[in-house]
Amino acid sequence: MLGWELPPFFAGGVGVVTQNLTAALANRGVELVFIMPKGPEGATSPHMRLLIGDVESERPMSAPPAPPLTEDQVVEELEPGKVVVRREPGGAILETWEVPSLLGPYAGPAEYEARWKEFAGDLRLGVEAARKRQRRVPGAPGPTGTAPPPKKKAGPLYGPNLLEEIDRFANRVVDLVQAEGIHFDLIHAHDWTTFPAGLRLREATGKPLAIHVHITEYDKTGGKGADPRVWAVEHAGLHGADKVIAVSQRVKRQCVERYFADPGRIEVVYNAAEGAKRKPRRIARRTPTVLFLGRLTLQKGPDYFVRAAARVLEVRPDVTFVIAGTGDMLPKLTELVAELGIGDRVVFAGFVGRDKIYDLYEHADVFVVPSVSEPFGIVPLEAMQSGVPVILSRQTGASEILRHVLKVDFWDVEAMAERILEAVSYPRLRAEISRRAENEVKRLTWADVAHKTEKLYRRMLDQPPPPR
Amino acid sequence: MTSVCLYLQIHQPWRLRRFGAFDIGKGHGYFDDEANRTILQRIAALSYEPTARTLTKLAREHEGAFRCALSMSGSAIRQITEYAPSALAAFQELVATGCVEILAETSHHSLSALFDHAELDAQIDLHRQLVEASFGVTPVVFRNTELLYSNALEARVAGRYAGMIVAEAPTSGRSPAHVYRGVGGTRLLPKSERLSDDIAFRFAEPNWPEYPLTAAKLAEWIVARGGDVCGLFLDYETFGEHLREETGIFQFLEAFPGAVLEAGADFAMPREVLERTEPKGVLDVFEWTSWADQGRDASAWIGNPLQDEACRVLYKLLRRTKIRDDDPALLEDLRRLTASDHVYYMATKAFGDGTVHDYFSPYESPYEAYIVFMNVLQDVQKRLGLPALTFQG
Repeated sequence: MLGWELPPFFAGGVGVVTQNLTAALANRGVELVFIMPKGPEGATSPHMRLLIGDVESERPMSAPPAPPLTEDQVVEELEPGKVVVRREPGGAILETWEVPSLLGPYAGPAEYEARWKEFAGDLRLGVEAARKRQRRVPGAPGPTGTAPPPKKKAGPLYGPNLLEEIDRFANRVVDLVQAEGIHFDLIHAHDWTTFPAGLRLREATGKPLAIHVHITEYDKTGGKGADPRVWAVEHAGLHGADKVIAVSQRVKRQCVERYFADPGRIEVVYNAAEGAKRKPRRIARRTPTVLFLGRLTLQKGPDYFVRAAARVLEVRPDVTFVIAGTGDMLPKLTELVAELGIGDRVVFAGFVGRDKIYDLYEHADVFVVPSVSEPFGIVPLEAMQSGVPVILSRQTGASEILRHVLKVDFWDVEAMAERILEAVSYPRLRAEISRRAENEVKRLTWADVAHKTEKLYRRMLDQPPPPR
Repeated sequence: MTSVCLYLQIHQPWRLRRFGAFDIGKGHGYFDDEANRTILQRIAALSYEPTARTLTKLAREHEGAFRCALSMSGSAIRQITEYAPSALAAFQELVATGCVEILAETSHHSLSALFDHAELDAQIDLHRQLVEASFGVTPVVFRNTELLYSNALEARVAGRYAGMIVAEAPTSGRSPAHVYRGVGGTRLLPKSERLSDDIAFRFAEPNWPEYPLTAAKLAEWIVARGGDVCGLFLDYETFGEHLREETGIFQFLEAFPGAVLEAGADFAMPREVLERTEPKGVLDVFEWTSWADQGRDASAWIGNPLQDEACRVLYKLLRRTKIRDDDPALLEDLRRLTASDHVYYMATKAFGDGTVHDYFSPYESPYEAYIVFMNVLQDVQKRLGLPALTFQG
């Protein structure tokens, strides 16, 4: 399996999905070797063999599987890139390292270049330091196969051009597989950054390739200004793969309509919900609170949320709107809030770490997902697990399967405002939705996703279907 | 000899339009006239009119040996009158054969039997007046909305009717092939559920071992089962709408009377059966029973917090409006809201499992149904000049 990120090393949305999927597949007895471009020296995974196709270092790093994590060994992300791993019962922090999220599946080449320039000076120092360190202790795994010794500002070992990185990774993967003498039946590549690697490995080994489309360039850009270079990489993957896994019907449609992919080779496998992290606890409030949580980008539709808020406040001036998250639209949004004169009712909470997200849910009466274009969307599932009624954009993959939510079109600000008003006014509605939604989301399991995925693997290999 | 009692139910609600939170207090109408007209005209063409003509033909052909009963909610009669006058004429022609009995029910297909007995009486009166005006006959057998029945209801209507139509559920453990008596003495005619459902649900089911169902086969089963009566109670739309013409349902209907008579049974209207048949025993029914959903109880309409609140607020506003007695238009709007359909759409118990609730609902979810209904009630509150409603969890 080829991926660009995997928690705790890079904890983006796709990383979380990949982590859950691989764990559930391993649970079914599917043996996995996971190759990613970057990770800490000696990094391991509890349920699969992890290989780092380090594109800068001379030699690959690999390590045997570590024992599975127990419940006390909490893995969490405090802020983007800063990861804390607790590996001792009781939660003592044993290792801390920073993983700058310069590279992520959401970054296009242009954004990547900008980020690179911003961090370049700092990074060059880091690269040098890391190289020196590597020469001193080449590839030494930590005790019990855990993460490398703590180091501040280890820095990312990436060049300034994302497309070059992707290409280098593709070559590196083939070398790595051959050098390590890895035997496998099938290749599974996650998102465009690993498609070239998947294609080259398929070419080199003749093994069938499944590509997993979690997001397309069209979703990232809200349909405007898609990068033709990214499109070309996606296009090549969609046409060169033996099977395509799309996380929703809308992603499948995009693959067909925007990339002219063969619909017969695309299978929809929806994501599932992670096990609830915390028991929901409703906090009694005097005034209703409505929550937005997500990156403040065009794709997530925060501006529609703000406009709907203004409409709601015309009728119910006592409602508080919380916007949690950060992103390039923040300045525009603060301006819009000022322009609409609702600054006293809108709170910008900034970036909120995963451990604090559940506090937000507990204080929210309604959770709004106004996404313009969302391939799937795990976040509404988390809100449902936490007992918060969700108003969900129909332009999300998740809305194709969720029933115990209120659905709106992202552009229909009037309807969005009405649903917010209604959810705020009718406590029984919230209670009933929240009760039924918690049940609904419980039925969306990674075990099911893994079962469907294994079934697809076996079809690709002409094997009989797996048991349930 | 077994008497076959074929009773067909006709009902159409006034569906609400998508009345949003911002519509409250703006003087907007509540009902989706366009949707109601379109749906009614479609069903009239597919089912009401062709079935009425077929029944009329059968009544004439068999010279009175074929007879049946219709129950038409007031809201159905009024929409048919307004939107499908030729279907109304077909029904009038059918009733004029003298072979069809029209049953008493509530004017607005309401759940007033569960919530407000004064309103129940008022709606039964309204319905009687409408049936008299439209068809020139006076109903003598009562049929409550969705065959909801309990001792409490029977006590309320005892002595006023020649009898009542009930679901099979109240006879649990006893054969539905007989007439029974309620604790207050009202004669009760039960539904023969299995034989009715053979037509309604299994007729067009190719995986059913008995498929295809012929009129002769069903007649044979009715006679073989025996008993005094066979209550075949069906949704009228079974003929032509739920089961389209292509399924052969009309050929079945045309062949049915001849097959029954030939097999050695006869047809009777409910009032005839109830008058001449000795009750087989007393039915003591504490909990509401009905002909709907798995439980054959009232859980399709009451029991979830949304439905209960919607009904509570609705009947409160209805009582206030009646006490004021100065706004007949508002009273009519509220009565249209008493139709059981509105709370049926709010059922969450099986939402998403592809049940009949989903089939009949004009809404995307039960939550939408509740929201629209409550928004309308908030608007009613404003029309009454009362302070805005607030709701507790």
